[in-house]
Amino acid sequence: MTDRARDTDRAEITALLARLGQGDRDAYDHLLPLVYDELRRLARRQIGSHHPDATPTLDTTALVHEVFLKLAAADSPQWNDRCHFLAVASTAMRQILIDYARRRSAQRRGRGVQHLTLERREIAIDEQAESLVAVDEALDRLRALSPRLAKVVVYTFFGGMTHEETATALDVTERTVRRDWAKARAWLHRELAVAE
Amino acid sequence: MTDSPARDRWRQVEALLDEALDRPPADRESLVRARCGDDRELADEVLGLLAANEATGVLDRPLGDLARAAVEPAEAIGTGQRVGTWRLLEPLGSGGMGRVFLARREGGDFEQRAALKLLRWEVATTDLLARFRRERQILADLDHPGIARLIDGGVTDHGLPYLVMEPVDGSPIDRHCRERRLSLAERLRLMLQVCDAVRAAHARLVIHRDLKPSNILVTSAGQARLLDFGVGKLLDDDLADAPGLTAALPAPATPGYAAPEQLEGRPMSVATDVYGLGVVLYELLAGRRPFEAERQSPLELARQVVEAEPPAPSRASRGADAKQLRGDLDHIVLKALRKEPAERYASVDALAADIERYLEGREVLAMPPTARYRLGKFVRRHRVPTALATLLLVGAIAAGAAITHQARIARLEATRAQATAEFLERTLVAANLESESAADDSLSALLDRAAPRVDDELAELPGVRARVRRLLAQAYHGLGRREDASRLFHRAHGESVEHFGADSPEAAWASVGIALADTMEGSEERLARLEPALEVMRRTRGPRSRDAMEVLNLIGNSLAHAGELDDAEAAYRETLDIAREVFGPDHVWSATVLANLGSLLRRQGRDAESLEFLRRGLELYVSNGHGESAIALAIRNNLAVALAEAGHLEAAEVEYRAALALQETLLGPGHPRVGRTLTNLGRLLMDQGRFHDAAEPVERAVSVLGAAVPDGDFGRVAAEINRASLLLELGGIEEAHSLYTTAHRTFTEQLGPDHSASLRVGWLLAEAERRRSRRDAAHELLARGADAQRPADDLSAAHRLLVQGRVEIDDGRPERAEESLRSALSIYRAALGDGHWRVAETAAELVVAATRDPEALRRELAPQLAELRRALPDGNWRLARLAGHLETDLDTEPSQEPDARR
Repeated sequence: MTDRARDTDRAEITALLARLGQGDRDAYDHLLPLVYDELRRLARRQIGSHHPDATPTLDTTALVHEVFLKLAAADSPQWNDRCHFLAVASTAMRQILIDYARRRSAQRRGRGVQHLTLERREIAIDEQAESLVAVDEALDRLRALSPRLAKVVVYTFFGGMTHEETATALDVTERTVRRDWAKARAWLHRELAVAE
Repeated sequence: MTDSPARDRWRQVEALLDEALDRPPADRESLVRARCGDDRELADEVLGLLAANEATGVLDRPLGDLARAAVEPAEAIGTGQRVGTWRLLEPLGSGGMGRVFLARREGGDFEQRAALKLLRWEVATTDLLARFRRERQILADLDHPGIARLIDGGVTDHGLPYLVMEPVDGSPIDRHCRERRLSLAERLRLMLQVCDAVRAAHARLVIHRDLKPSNILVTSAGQARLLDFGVGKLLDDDLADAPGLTAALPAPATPGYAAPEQLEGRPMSVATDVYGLGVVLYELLAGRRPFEAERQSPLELARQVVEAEPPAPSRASRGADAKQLRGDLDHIVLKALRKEPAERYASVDALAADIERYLEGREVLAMPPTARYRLGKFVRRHRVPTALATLLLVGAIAAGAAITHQARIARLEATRAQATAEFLERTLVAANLESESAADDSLSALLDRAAPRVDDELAELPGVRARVRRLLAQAYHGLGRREDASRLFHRAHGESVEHFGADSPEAAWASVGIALADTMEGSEERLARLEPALEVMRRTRGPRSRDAMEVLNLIGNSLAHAGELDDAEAAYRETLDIAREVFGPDHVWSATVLANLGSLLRRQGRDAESLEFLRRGLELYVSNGHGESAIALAIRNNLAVALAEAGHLEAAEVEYRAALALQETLLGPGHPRVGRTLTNLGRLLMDQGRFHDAAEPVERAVSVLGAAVPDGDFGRVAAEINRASLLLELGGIEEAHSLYTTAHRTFTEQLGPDHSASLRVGWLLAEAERRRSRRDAAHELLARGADAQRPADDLSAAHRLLVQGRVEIDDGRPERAEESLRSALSIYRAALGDGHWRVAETAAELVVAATRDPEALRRELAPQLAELRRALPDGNWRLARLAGHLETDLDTEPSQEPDARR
């Protein structure tokens, strides 16, 4: 019963990937929530497997790739499909992180004085959340200038995709991706410096 | 996308950056300055970015810590922390669904304590959260002394849902009974309290689904209170809608207490709770659960729950009162524990009433199973549980459409639905599902008895009456009793207009019902009723409402039948959008619309898309556990049709035969659907030139549909057309002619002479006329629709051209025939590929038309003929016809085996 449900998922994902490869926007919309949920699930499992006191960090790159193995690998060994899938997973990862960062920042502002009582690790995460919200806002502005650069940032930074994978997903050369990443990174870092 | 100055500027910047980044760092500044000349601003911008490129920043730091925090499991939340407005005081326990804390509300005017249940992270999907917000209010309204109220609920910062319940200070019912050494009668009275609470929830259309002693606490004052009402439902719905998630989760219900339908994934209903109460009662009476062998694996336990009959409590009991259980109490408990929901007590009230009868020393209604065996068999055969629950409780107009329970509930508004549901429940009880006299009754007779009571019992509640009347009409409609359905739909419509107003959704639904009962699919009259109903739904329920969606789907069906394919597609696409929004992409509703759309796309000639939609629709049905439903079978049939049209003939045959086998088992061999599938299978085999294989399905289709549906039914006509085509192949020209003529008349009268179905059968008839040497009649039929715009790969257009070519050859006008046949050939070739016998046949006819020189004709026709001979059975008239050209034109004997090499 449950295995069958999995198989159906996979078949569905395979079909969606094939459509994604043909540039089907609808397929993307279908795939994203599936990947989103699976990402969260895997992430939590990764954490859960550690000792509670170890407070491990999460390897987002590994996660994005693990989601691929989990959801799609058996049926779609093609490099092409794999890269398209990773792109979706990266987008989902960005969504998860940004949603959380926004909630956390909002909560921090509401928390006021209590901040002082938090342990250092929590403060570091608060700061990271704050800067991530800024990154995402800047990313929106970058998208207005060049949608592709914004995608490169999502895939590289949030998804941990290699330049080679990103190149395939965007159908450009690896050299272009390397260059795009340099430009986007420079642009974002400058934007954030200006903002501060 | 429009270009902005900012983008233009950025393009300049980017070009410079690209160039600069190619150089060694030391050379970059001079390059940029040189390129920018006077535009210092541009130079500064580019140089600024180059500098930023060298620095490290936030994009270089790993996301790990934040990522971990973002997906932190609930375990990070503990005593002392705050969740929403609640402070967690101490852990109360943990279970399958999450952990429970004693919590205190902060910042309120008064001290409030509650049990806060933090759900496990696995259940925290986006879907759940949305549903959670919708359902929370319904649950919060469950106000009954026997139910611990849901006070609050929300989502933590980590995205974990939590529920806050009224705290109950008591002990589980089984422990309470043991510790207090309650007598048999006291235990039964306690159960009556529990029944009353469950009944109150059912009246609100909330099902518990996880009744067990640990969820039923008894206070020191002896008051029973139920925990977790509706929680199982919230979670369960989510699971049902997210097939991917089921893998990661344990069954929502507790194994020892779950009802068979829960374990089998069948629809749940009030009967599920009746079963749960039965288990609890069993345990309180016998001191053990009905299925509870030692060292049992969960799988074995599940198997027993689904398959095995539990021992009577009196035999299972190790207590002193075992003897008292024998007889009535055994019967009561076992009736609550029946495998088929419909064989249990029809309501919790009915169960409670029997317990009361026992306590008062009166005769109980529950009987040993043997006496009710026949009813049981009937029920299993007709699936009354689903039928009744679907047809009566639901209010879904599309009877037979798969609609899940929770979706129905969401649509019924609380109070009115409550009265409706209670009334219907009473009706069913009164209609003697309970008594022996009902043993031979069909659902149909049951409705007959319920229908007149609507007037008596609901006179005071005209709104409810209108609604119930409509539900009954739907039930009739679902049973195929059109006239009764129509009569009640009309009455319901009048009542709805009077009570709710002409523009109310209630009146609109009744009007939709009238459309379904009184008008033909695809007719103007049907659309004329559906379209205003849609407007009403859009206006009153919202353009993205479920009501609007359902009507839209019906409009799509109707448009598709009427041949308005583009409009139908638009309607379906909007339906699909709303279905996905309302139910989620994996829901059977989405699957239904996907399948409708798939069938439509096929008719538009968009094969690849069509196959994909149909496959996906079918997959969703299967994954939702409805793989054997009537609709899934219909989809399978449509998938086979699409496969056939796309040229995947073997795959199509496999699907047809699979569908056929399922239909014959589930629906019986005489069902109209069986006939329709046989028709399609026959068509497929004929398309492959397998005329002898086709004979059995074709003939059987005619006899099945002839018995099952009235004269003039399109499915029946299609079967007869098939039979005619087969007869034509096998030489029964006159009989074929007469069948085609009847079919042609039927379509022309009902759909109009220019409808594609009328035209198609007209062209088939033309071929029969040609073979009867009535070429004038053939010409006349072929002329109609000749200039209509048709898709490039329309096979019926190709067929028309082929027949026309043949007639023109027969007329002795080969140059005209050549033109017709060339067009036919190009369509066939594109649609069927070179290997198909139709292509070979058309090519051969073309050779006949185009070749004037007898030698050349002989040379060129021979190989075509050889190919055709391989594909068609010996003696097929086509072979004879073409060989005849060799014979007469060359005035020589046709070779028995034309040699392709010559």
